[in-house]
Amino acid sequence: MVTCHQDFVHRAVAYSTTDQLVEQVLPFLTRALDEDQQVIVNVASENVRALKQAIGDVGSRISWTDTYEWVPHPGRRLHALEELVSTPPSDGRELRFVGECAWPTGPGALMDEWNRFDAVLNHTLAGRAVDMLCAFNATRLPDTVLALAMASHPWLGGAADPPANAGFVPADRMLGDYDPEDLAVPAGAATAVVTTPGEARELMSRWLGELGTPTGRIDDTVLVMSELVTNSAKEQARTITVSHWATAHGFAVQVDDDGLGMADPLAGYRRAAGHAVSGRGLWIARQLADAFVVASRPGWTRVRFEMADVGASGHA
Amino acid sequence: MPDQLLLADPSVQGRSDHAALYFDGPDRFDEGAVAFLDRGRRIGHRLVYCVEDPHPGRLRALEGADELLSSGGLRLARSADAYGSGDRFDPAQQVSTFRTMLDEALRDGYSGLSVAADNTAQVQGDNEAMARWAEYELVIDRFIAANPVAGLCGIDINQVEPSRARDLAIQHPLTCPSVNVPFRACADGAALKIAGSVDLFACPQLGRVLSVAPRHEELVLDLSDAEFLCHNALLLLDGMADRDRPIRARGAGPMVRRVWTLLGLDNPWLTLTD
Repeated sequence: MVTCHQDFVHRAVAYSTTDQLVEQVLPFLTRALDEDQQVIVNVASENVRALKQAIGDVGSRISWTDTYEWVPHPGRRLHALEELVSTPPSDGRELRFVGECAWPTGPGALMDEWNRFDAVLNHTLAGRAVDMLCAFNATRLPDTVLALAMASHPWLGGAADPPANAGFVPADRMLGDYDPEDLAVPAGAATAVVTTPGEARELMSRWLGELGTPTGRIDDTVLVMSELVTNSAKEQARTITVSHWATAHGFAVQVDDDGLGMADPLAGYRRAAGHAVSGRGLWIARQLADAFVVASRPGWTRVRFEMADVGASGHA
Repeated sequence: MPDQLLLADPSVQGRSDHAALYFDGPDRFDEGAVAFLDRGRRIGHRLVYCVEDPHPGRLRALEGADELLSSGGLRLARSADAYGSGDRFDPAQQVSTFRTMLDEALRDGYSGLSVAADNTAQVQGDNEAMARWAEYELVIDRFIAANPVAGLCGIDINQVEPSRARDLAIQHPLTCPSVNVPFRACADGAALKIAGSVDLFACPQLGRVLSVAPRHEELVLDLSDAEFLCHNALLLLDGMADRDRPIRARGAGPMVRRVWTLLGLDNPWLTLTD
């Protein structure tokens, strides 16, 4: 039994046809309207159309947005959702949210980032009076991505009392499973040892400038790189190695170090509160990188981030 | 010491009127001071040579030194007399003293004032004394930038902690020989121009410079030459800006603006302008 009115309820449904989507989501929406809750639907545009048609004219009682238009970036959407629920309606209504990830057409790494987004949501929105139903298109998503997506939700289905997900994997376990061995640098990658954040920034600027990367993209990458190498130095790394390579849809950069490591697999997913000085660097990096994965054990940390070409995060 | 020639080299970018001379022994200071004062002589400045033990023989190499001394074109001063020491040192009073000397020089027909001073003794005190000196460097740099004045601040590298020497380099538009510092913080009109990069490891230095900025007035930071400011640097500004010392950062590039936006800074006493 779910306590829907006091804590974050994060549930998943998989669909293969639009009819299946409507069948599972409609009761959720109808119930939310009956209870006069705040309702937001953020799914692919064709699903917006189908759900609108199915539920009929409800005026402005539901806010409809296209997932490819409303913050279509995992790190930034995580923050946007956090901001959204941090200012609940003054009339005491609760938020019911139907969501769909902005799945990219790009490489698997970008899809993996959405998987991590879903897993971390359980922590980011914990304690919030939000009921969120996430829809996954089983015919379009690779099996591995779909399996992880379903596993990151503690509840299944759109019913009032959804069954617990027996295959649920908590975020700290899902993210903590990454091992540095999993992030081998591909053959052909350029590699350099750096000693300061400034050196790393210079390395990135030069390389991306030679590639003809747009200035804004270079700036974002330089910022991410600077934060990572700063972290490595703070963690007492003696050797910091930067590798970078082009990918089919952009480029990837990896920072390896032999520092103390990152014990918390959820580090940097939430913005540090108030005037806290530490804990912001990783958060900024996650806001800027399109995919960002940390694999760490004592004495060995690998952080890989990927940046997609403009357009690579298009509709799957 | 070939870098001392930079003081007279028109190819030097930016200001060359306020330099820190890092020297190794009194003779080396005198070499630099002579080159610096000679440049002042050629542009019609009154010259001031200020060391612990000022005797004319130390300036033998300066062209026309005797005539300059007898005509008042060159004045000798003891550091202790000119600057006082320890807790008696008052940055505002010191600037006022130089203002009076400049006015006098201009009245006497000189085009300005060039001061070569061995400040080693002034930067050897405790942290409080050092903070007063840092405050002085900040206000005297602003004074120099706005007036026909040139200053050479000598620092004996054998007698000053390296970290202090680096902090001082940050506050000088020019150092001889050149010192590799991550950024410089020098006057540009009424603003303090940050040039270079400030990452986490340079934040303490930035904090020390900004902490001595005058209170009860807006601190304008010119970031147009700031290549990089990490988020910690912006948080530092956020923590320092208050009703008594609002901070306005102008001319920031897109990267700084990006981080600023991400941080969601909402301190009403910290503003970002074009």
